[in-house]
Amino acid sequence: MFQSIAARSIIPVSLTVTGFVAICCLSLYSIMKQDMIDDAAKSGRNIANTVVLSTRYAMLNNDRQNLGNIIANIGQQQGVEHLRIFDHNGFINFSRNQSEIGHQVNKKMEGCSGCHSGKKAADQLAAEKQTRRFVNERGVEVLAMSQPIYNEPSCSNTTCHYHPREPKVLGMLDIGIDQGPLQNSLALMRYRMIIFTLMVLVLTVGGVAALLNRSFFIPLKKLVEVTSVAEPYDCVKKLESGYGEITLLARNFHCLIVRLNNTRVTLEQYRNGSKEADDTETRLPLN
Amino acid sequence: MTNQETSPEVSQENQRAALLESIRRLHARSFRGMWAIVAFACVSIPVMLSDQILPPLTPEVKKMLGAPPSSNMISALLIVYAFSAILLVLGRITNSSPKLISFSHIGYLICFYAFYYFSGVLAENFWAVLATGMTILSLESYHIWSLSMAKIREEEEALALLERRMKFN
Repeated sequence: MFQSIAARSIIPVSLTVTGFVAICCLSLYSIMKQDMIDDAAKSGRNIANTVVLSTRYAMLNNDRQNLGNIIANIGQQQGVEHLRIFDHNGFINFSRNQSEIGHQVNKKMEGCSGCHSGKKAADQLAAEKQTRRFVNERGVEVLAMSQPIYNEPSCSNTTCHYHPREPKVLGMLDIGIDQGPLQNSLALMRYRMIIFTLMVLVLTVGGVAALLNRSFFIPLKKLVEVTSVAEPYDCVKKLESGYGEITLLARNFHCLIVRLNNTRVTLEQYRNGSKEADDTETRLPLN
Repeated sequence: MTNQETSPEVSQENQRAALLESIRRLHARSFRGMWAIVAFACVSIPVMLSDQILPPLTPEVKKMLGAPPSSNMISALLIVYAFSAILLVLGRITNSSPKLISFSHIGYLICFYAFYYFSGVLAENFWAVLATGMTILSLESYHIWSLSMAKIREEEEALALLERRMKFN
C-alpha cells in the first residue's frame, strides 16, 4: 500500500505540510503567549509604579491611615490578588489582607531571591526580575510584581520623618494580578489556531490529493486497466482522450499492438504461403 | 573437468548468498529511520518531564552561562532550521539519494531543547521542537524506507531469476 505511486506522492507532501504548519503554529503560539505575558507584566509594573507614586505623599507625611486606605481601596479592584507594602526587613506594614500585617515574608521566595540571593542584598533589580508567576493558595495563577521603594533625600531630610540616610531601599510594594483573564484569552487563541491549522491542513493536503487523483491517479489506473491483458495482441481497448500525456502513452501502446498484430498476420501469411509452395512442389511429377 | 563443471554452480551459489545478504542489509537499513525516531522520542520524554526531573538553575550557574538568547530568537531559528532541513530531505527524495538518515538532527534538536531550557521557556516550546524533530525524522525515515523497499524488490527479482537458472541447470 505504501509503495504505490499515490502513497509515494501524498505521504511526503502530507508530512511536510502538516509538520511545518504545526511547527509554525506552535512557535507562533509560544511567541504570542510570551508577548502577552510580557505586556501583562509591563502593565502590572505600571500599576505598581502608580501605587508607589499615589502613596508617596502619604509616606512622606507618615500618614499611615491614609496609606492603609489607599492600599485597601486599590486592593479591592477586580483582578488584584494581593497588594502589600513591607519594610526592608520583610515585615508587612500595609496589606489588602489585614490578617497578614505584621508577618515577615520569606526572603528565599522567588520574588525576593532576585535581590537577596547574594550575601548582600542588591540595590537595583532589572525590570524582568521584578516579575514572577505562581499559583497562590486559592489555586489562582498570579503574576506578581515587586516595586522597590527607594530612599530619597526628602525621606531623610524632612523634620517629621525618621528614615536614616544610608539604606537605599526602604521597603517594597508587592502586587499580584490574577492571570485568569489572560489564560482565558490564550486558551481561546489556542482553540482558534488549532481550528485554523486543521482547516489549512485539510484544504492543502485534500487539495493536493484531489488534484493528483484527478490529473494523475485516475488516468494511470485506466492506463493500467487498458494495458493489463493476458495476451498483448488481444488488446483492443482504447483510452479516451483528455488525459494528456497518459492518453498519448496509451495510444503509443495501442500502435505497438497494432503493428505487432500486423507483423503476426504477415508472418502467418508468409508461413502459409511457403507451406503451400512446398506442397505444390512435392505434388509435381518428376521428369 | 570436475572444476569446470562445479565452478558455475559455486558462482551461482555465491551470487545467491550475496543477494540474500544484500536483502538482509536492506531490510535492516529500511528500519534505521524508525530507530532515529525512537531515539528522539527517548530523549524527548525526560525533557518533557524536565520540570520534575531537572533541578532549577541556580543563580551562580545562570551567571556563569551569561544572558540567554531571547525565546523569540530561538523560535525563529527553529523555524529556519525546520524549513532548511525539510527542503534538504525533499531534495534527497527528488534525487532518490541513497544517503542514510542523519542522526545529527537529534543532536541539533537537543541543542534547541537546551537553549529553551536555559532561557526558562522550555515548557512553552517543547511541542514545537518535538513537532520539528518528528517531521524531519519521519520524512527521512519514509524516504529511506521507500528507497530500501524499491531496492529489495529489485534484489528479490534478481534472486528469483537466479534461482530459476539454478533449477534449470
